[in-house]
Amino acid sequence: MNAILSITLIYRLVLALQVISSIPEGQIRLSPVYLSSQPKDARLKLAGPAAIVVGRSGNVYVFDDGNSRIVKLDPRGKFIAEFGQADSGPGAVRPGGLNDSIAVDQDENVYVSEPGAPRVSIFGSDGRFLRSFRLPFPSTSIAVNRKREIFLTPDTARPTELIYVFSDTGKFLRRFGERLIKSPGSLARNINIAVAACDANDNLFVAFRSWPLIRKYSPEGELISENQFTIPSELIPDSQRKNYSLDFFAKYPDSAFIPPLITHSISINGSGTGYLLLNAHSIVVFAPSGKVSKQFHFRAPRDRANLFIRVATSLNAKAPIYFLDTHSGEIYATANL
Amino acid sequence: MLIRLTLLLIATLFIVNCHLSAVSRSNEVANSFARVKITTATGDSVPLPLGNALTIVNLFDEFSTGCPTGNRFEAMERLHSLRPAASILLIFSEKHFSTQDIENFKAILPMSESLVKGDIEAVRPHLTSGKLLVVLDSRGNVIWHEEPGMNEQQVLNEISNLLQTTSN
Repeated sequence: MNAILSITLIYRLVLALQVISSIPEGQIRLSPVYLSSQPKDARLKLAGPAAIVVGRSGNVYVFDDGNSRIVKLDPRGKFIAEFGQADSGPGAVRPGGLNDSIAVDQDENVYVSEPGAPRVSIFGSDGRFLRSFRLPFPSTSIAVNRKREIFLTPDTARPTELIYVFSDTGKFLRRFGERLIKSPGSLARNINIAVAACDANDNLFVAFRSWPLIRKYSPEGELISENQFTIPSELIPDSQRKNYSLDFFAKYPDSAFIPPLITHSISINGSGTGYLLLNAHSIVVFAPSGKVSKQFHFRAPRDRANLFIRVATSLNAKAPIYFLDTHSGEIYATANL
Repeated sequence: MLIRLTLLLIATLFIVNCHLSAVSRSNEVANSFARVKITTATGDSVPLPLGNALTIVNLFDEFSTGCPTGNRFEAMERLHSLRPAASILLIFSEKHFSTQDIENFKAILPMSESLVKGDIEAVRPHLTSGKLLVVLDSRGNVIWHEEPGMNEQQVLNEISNLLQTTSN
């Protein structure tokens, strides 16, 4: 028993020792899918889009935060529809900042998590408002599995679990997952912010916003694996490195220190390969087990003028991988990474 | 001399007016609060259940642990832990929260026995940042209510003093 405890402690210690290092440059070919600056019709322009998701059909749904609406595009970026606008009654989505707040199920019903007055709104793929339910906390990410169970990552200073699960009718089902820092506090809140995505077998992958870790949970919420990736060295100034540890954060959970944003978003394709978008211009590719297979910087089409905040692909194995730039409202895609 | 007398008169009128408007607001809150009802699991509207001594009631038109309403919830938790005997009722607007929402909150948040849904429309004009806290005596009379601009520490201090005075 003691040996098992010791091994667990050593494993935890190794995970707690962050890896900060420079990462290599990689080449990816990004093709424009939707360029907000081009259409003359103001209705077609995105304003500070916050989140993107791709359905099995290949259609793309964007949470257009600045215009408080959802925009539906076809796989080539042709504008199909908009819904959830301010004048659409109970289905109006409210702007809520840059959260990874949109998901689709296998029938392409659209789930939007609104952090302002926290709730989840559900729409049909045609944009028809179906229903909504309230949450006691804002959520930073939303994912949906094949059973239409909704997984939410809370953004709260309260000591909670990492993941809360609701049915698609809005009934709270269960919660699971250990937070990185269990104490309440503002720093603990920032460190525990996470993003989540489901694979085709309903496993849930979770990555933390400011800590380089990918966790894989079974559909029931059992922790299957934890894998670390590298923090790109430019994100953590030398002066902060000695304190950039879970031990330090646990010791000062209410510190005013705001950790740098490392992970922006997570997405998984039909083969189970996962992608993390880091700090706007780096990618972590991980295997279905959660093990990191590669990590690299990539050059944006406009030579790093783009600020990519989301990566998205679909459970359809042939779907490309999309990148969303929140500043310009541009969407690019690549066939593989 | 005339200027001094005029200034004194203005100052007196200002103080009297402030006092009168505070009294007037208190009366309005008390009158409106009399019409607040809670909604039972069967959907019936019933009067608020009152404690033997004081009942602390907070109305929520909005709620999130990540905003000022969350801070209020934490203040209520602190009161609850400091004075477990005090009756606490947290009423969520039935206009914005469904029965399912309240059931979820009961399963997720502490103080589940205090969380209820209710009709708070009568008090809506008096809500500040989507919330209002009042203290009722055993007959349901409003004996204290929060004023706009009060912070959580002030609310906590004033209610703690009130509870202390009552228990003495």
